[in-house]
Amino acid sequence: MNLKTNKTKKTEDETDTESSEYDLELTKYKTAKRKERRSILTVITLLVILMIVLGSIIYFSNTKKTSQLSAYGDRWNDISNFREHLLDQKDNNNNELYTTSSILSSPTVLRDLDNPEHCLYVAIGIEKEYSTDAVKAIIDFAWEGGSVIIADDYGYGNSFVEKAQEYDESFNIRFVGKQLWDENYEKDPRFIKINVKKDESKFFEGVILLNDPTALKNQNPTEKWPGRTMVSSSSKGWIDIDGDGSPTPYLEDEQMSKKPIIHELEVGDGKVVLISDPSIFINDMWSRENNSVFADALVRYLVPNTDDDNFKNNNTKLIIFDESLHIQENIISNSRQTFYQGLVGFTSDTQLAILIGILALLFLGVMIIIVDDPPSLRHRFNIDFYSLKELKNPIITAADCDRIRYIYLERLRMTHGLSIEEFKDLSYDELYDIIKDPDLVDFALEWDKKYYGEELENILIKIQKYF
Amino acid sequence: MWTRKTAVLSSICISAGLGAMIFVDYQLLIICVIFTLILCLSFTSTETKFELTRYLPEPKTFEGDQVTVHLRITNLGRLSGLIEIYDKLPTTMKLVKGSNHVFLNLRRYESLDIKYTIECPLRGYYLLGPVIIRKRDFFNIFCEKKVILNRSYLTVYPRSEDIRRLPIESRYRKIHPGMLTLRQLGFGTEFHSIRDYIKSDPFKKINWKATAKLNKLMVNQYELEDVFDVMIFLDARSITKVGSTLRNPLEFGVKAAATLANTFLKRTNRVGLVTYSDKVRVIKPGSGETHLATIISTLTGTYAMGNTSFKTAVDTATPYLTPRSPIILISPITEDDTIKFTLRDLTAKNFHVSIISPSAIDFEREVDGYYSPRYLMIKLERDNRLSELRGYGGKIIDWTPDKPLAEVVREVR
Repeated sequence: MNLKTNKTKKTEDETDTESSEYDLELTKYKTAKRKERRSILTVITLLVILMIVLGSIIYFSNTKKTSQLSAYGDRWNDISNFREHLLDQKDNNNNELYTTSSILSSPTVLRDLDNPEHCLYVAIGIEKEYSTDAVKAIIDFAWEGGSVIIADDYGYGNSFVEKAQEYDESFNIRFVGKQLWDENYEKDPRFIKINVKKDESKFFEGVILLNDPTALKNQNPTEKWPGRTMVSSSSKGWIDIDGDGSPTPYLEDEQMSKKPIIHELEVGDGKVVLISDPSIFINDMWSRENNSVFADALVRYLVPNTDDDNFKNNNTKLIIFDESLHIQENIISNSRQTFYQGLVGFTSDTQLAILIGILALLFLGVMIIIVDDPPSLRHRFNIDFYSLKELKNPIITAADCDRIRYIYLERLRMTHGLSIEEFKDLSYDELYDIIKDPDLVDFALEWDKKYYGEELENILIKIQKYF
Repeated sequence: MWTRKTAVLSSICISAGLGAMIFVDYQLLIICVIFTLILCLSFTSTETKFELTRYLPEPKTFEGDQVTVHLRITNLGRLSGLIEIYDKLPTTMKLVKGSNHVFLNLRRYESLDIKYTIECPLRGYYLLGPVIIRKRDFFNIFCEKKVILNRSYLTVYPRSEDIRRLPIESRYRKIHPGMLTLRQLGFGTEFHSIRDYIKSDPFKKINWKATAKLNKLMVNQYELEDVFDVMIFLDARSITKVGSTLRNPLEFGVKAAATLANTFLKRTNRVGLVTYSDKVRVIKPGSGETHLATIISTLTGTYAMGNTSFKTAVDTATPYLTPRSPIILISPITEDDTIKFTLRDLTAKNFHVSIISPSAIDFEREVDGYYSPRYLMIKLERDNRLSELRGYGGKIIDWTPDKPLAEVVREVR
């Protein structure tokens, strides 16, 4: 017996050793796999970080290169002179005529202006694409009496036109985006002189100097968008569509004719003026020819003196420079601009606002559901209960029939002190004499007969009573 | 810790902020700012610092006894505000007097003593604590929870009963005389039988009543008292936890083992203990108070787990079994097919085996409260198994939950 036990023990020990070796191998394999996974993850993370850093560097280095045409910058290609000039303008009572402001976020803030008819929106140099909502806000602003100047040459000026077309398909005018040449220039052919006539412009007569301008096309007025060309090139003007530096006869745009440079659209009660050269307004060109006089006259034309005494007494005319369309030159300005744009973006878009409102309400609901008060700290006397697997189902079924029969016969045998052989040798009559109950005798002997439900329960109760 | 109020206020704050921006509404903005300020103020005002000491006058006690716990709390921080203190207790302990959960307000360096009494109905090794302190701010918005790991140990020993008449007898004499009766005639105190008077008999042994009845001199014979070794086997397999935590085969078995060990040891016998659960633990036969303490400690830390068989337990304990000594097995004898053959082997080796069998199904029925057909079937099966074991030479006592321990022990004889 002891030997057997020892042998078994030894076998168990051997099994344990094998099992522990297997476990060791498994652990090593798992560790190696984990290390491999970790190194892959590390590489991916490093790559992502590298991409972000490189992206940021490229983004901000580009930003630095392209910063220009800001109303608040005083470099040669900014337009601070224009802004300061407007601020210096006084009325007859020596009161300030204009107030300037800027948009850092999005032109959608124009919707919040109280008196659009006394406001002028100025976007000079479009370095970012307009959003649909922004264009809609500008057109609505103009529709309610506001005035708009959009000056661009080779930038994203056409994004205004494209988005306006989404608003109304008949909005056709667009920036050509190719160099306009004219025989009338000053020293360098890129500096084109334009003679502005009073009967065309209606507010100014004189010469203005352009720098690398482009032209406008599809300017013909439509029923919905009436307008007129205010300023055009000379009849010797042509657009270098193919970029070869000389007019190509078979290309329509390259044929010499008067090309529109400044066009006025009448939008509702307001006006939208498209200028195909923003450099009229830049500091370097400000005092060349009559550029400053032209700019001043244009502003006066678009936001004329009002007869509304109430407005006069309390307000000045508001000139809004859109800085949101310029790329900022440093991280802080850029981040600030992105933040403002995001903020105004979701607060001015009605659908987005509704969506955010719904999300906020959902958030409120979810928070109330998820966050519960801290649980009550109360001592509870608690007793656990454990159950026998066999007793989980209290009902007996036909499947238990043979088991009950076996229990009954075994009990019968032991009660009468019989061995298994003796019990097997009992005849029917002898067994009947012992049991004395025909039902129980049938139950004991008829192994093929199945008992169900209540019948089986009755048999069981009889067996219990019998003993 | 956030409360529902925190969630509601924060959500309102965010909603008002968004609403203020969407509708350009300054009233909403003011609401947002005010609520944010309240939240910030509440958040910054929940810092706490407390010192706690717990004192247990009786860290060792017996089942059913009551223990008083003293808890002293000192505020080492600023003015506390309303604080909630909860001394965590095991769920099997009853709170009898006082409370382990109090609300109080303490000034700086102020102390307070909390006293409460608990009843320990279940044996075991327990840890009292940790102490949970919850502090709420003035607006009742945030709730700071602090867990102080100040723990105390409490040992609850199983309670043993007093049994005057010992049921177990040995048929064989050891070298050193003792207090236990052997099934041999000798100079003991326990009555055995009467016989005819012979000349050498002292007069004090004459049974005058029997003499008068039979009309001839009759004398009393007494059982020989001697020391013998008893080995108690306690079944602590996971099956023994059937029933409730307080009333199950294991708890009854532990009580029986403690009682028997106590009684045998008091009468200068040597007692060993074998518990088998997930593994077999053997305490060699020994005597004296220290040995009793060892047995009681082992029983205190015995929990239902594993499925080791009785055969494995006997094989492990074989080197410590005194030949032909009494063995007591306390087991529900369910789900262990080795009992039958092991019992046969032990009987063959002249061990005197008694089996006290707490009925697991009856413990469960006690919880369920009704006799199901399946219960009847399993009960019959169990009766068969007990009868079969009796056939192998063991003394079997079926212990139903309604039967007191003293009565069960009496039946062993």
